[in-house]
Amino acid sequence: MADVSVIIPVMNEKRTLRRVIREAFRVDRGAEVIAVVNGSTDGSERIARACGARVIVFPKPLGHDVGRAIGAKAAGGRILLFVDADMVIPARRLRPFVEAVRNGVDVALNDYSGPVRKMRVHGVVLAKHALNALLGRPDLEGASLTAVPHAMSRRALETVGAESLSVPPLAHARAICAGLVVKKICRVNVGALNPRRGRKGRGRSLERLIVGDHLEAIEWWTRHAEHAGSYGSGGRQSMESGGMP
Amino acid sequence: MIRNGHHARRPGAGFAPRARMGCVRRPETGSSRRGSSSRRGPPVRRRPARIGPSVHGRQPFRRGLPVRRAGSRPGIFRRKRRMPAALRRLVGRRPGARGAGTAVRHSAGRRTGMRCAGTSAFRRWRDLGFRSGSAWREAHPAAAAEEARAALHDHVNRAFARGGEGENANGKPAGAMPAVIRTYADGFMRGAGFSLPVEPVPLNGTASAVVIAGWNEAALDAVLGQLERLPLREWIVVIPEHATTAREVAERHARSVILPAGEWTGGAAGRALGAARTGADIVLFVDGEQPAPAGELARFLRAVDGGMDAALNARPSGIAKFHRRPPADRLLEFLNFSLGRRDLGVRSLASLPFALSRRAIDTIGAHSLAQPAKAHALLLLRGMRVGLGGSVPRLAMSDPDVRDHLEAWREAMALRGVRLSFPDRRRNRAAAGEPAP
Repeated sequence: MADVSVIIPVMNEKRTLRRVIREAFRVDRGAEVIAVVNGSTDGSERIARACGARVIVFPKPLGHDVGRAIGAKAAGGRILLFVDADMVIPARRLRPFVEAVRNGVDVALNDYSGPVRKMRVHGVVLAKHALNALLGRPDLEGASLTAVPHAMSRRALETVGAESLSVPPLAHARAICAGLVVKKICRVNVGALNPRRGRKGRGRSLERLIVGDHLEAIEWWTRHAEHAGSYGSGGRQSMESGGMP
Repeated sequence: MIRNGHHARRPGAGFAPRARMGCVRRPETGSSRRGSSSRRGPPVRRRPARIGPSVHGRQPFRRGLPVRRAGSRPGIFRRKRRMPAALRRLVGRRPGARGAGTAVRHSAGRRTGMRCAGTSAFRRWRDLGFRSGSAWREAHPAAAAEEARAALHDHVNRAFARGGEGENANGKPAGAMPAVIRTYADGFMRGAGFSLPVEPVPLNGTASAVVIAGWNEAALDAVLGQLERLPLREWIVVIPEHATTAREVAERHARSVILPAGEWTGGAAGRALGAARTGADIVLFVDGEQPAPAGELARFLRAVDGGMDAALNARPSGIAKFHRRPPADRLLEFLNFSLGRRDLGVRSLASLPFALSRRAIDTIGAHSLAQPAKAHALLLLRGMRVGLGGSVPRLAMSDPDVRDHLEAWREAMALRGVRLSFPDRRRNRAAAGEPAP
C-alpha cells in the first residue's frame, strides 16, 4: 500500500496535466496518483492514463472541489496530498506538506492568505480570515483547506469525512473543532500560479461560491457549538465538551 | 490673506457641502447668490498637503476609504479628515468665533463654511439670530444658561427644520447647511447675552442619548460637556453600580438621567437598558469613556433625522490595511459582506457612537442591543436604512464576541437560508455522498 496518495481533480487541463502528474510522482517513492477526470473533452483522461495515474472518470463536470472528495474516498495512502491540475508546483515544494503530516500534523495547510496588504480584500480572502477568527484560530490567518496544496493524515480524513471535502471550508471547520493538529506549513503563492485569474467571467461567480461555502461552515459551527454548549475558542475546548457530533 | 488661509484650514471648516455654498437663500430677497470670484485670476490652492508630499500640486495621497458623510451631497464621496482634526474640535472653539467684523472678501471656487462667515449673506443670518436672541432675552431677563440653550435649539428648529414640503413655515430654506445654522446660532447666543458653546441641529423629532459610562469620571465629564451642546431632550447615563464619583459627575449635568447598571457587563448590556428607558425619536449611543466632539455627534442626529434608521460611526481614519486589523474586525466585515453590505466595511453597531431611529429600536427591540453584532444583522435583515453618521476614532477592539456573531448569522440563515445570497448551483454533491446544503 502506498504511503502517500496525491489527489488531482482534472477538468480540461491537458496543457498542464502531464507536468502536474510527473511532479506528483516525484513527491514520494511509490506515491499513488489519483486523477479525478470530470467533464473533460480535451483528452485529459488519455494523458492521465498515459502518465501512469489512477484515473476516475466522470463524463459530466462534478463542480468545484467535488473531485477532491471522490479522490480522497478512493485513496489508499496514509497521507493525502491535494493539488490542482491547472498549476504545476514542483515536487520539492510539495514535500514539506507530506513531511509535516508524517511528523504528526493532521492537516498541513498552505501558508497563503491571498493579497491582504490593502484596504479592501477579495471576498474569499475575507471569508477565510473570518472563519478562522470565528473558530478561535486567528493565527491561521487566511490559510484554509480551500487553497491547494495541502496534505492531511488518514486520521484527519476519517474525522472530517471524505464527503465534506467537496465543501472545503466545512472540512476545515470540522478539523479545527475536532481538535486535530491544523498548521500552516509553508507558502506556495498559488495566486501567482493560478491561470484561472485570467479566465473571464469565472472569478466573480467563484467568489460567491466559495463565500457561500464559508457560510455553510459557519452554519455547521453554529449547530455544533450549540450542541457542544461551548462558544469561543473552538479547538480543544469543544473537543473536551463532546467532540464531533 | 494669510489669516484667511488659516481660517480655511480650521477643523470645523470642511463641514458644509461645498456645492451648496453658493446658493444660500438670503433672508430678505430669497435670491440666490453664487460664488463670483472665479473671475479673479487663477484659483489658489489653499488646502495644504496633509499627509505625504504633494506632487506637482495634485492632491496628496490620503489614507482611508471613500466615505459618504451624512450631510454631504449624494454622490460625492469625501475622504475622511485626519483623526487629530476631529479631536482638535474637542478643544473647543465657539462656533463662528471669528467675530462678525472680519470681512472675508475672497470667495474662491472651493469655499467652506467658516471662511464665508463674514460675507454679507452670513452676516444677515447672524443678525437674524442676534435679533431673535435679544428678543428672547427681553422676554426672559432672568433666564439661565440651560434655558438659553433650550431656547436656541427651539428657535433653530423653527427656523430650519424640514417641514412637510421641504420648506418650513417661515419660508426659510429647509435643510440649510450647518454653517448657516451655526452662524445663526452664534448670533442668537450673542443676542441673548450668553457665551456658550452650542451645536445647533434642526430636528423634526425628539432626540435623546444613552451614555455608557465607565469608571473614568474625567472622561465622562468631557463626554457630557459635549452632549450639553446638542439639542438632546435628556441623556440616560448607564453607570456601573459602584462608580460613585462618575455618578456625581453625571448628576452635575441638568439633563442627565442616572441609570445604575447593576453588574457591569462590558457596555453592550447597558445599551439595551438605556434604550429601553427612552422614547425619543432619535437615540444617540455614546461611549462615556471616550469623548467625541459635539460636531461629530451632530452628524449622527442629522443623519437619522434625515431618514436613516441607523447611523454608524464612519471612523475610517482608524482603519488600517486588512492584514493589520484585529480578528474582531474580520468578523464584522464578513458579517456585512455576507448580508450584502460590503460597502459598510467593518462599520457596525459594535462601535460607538451610533444613532438609531425610533423605528429601528421598535423593529429590533431595545433588548437586542445587548448583542451588537446580532442587532446589526437584524437591522440589515429587517430592511432598515443603515448608513454612516459622524466619524469618531475608537479605542482598539477587544477580542471578538464569537457567540454574538454566531447568533447574528443564525438569525440571517433562519431567514435567508444557509448560504444567504451565495448559492451553489454547480456542484454535484450526490457524487461525493454529501447532502445538499
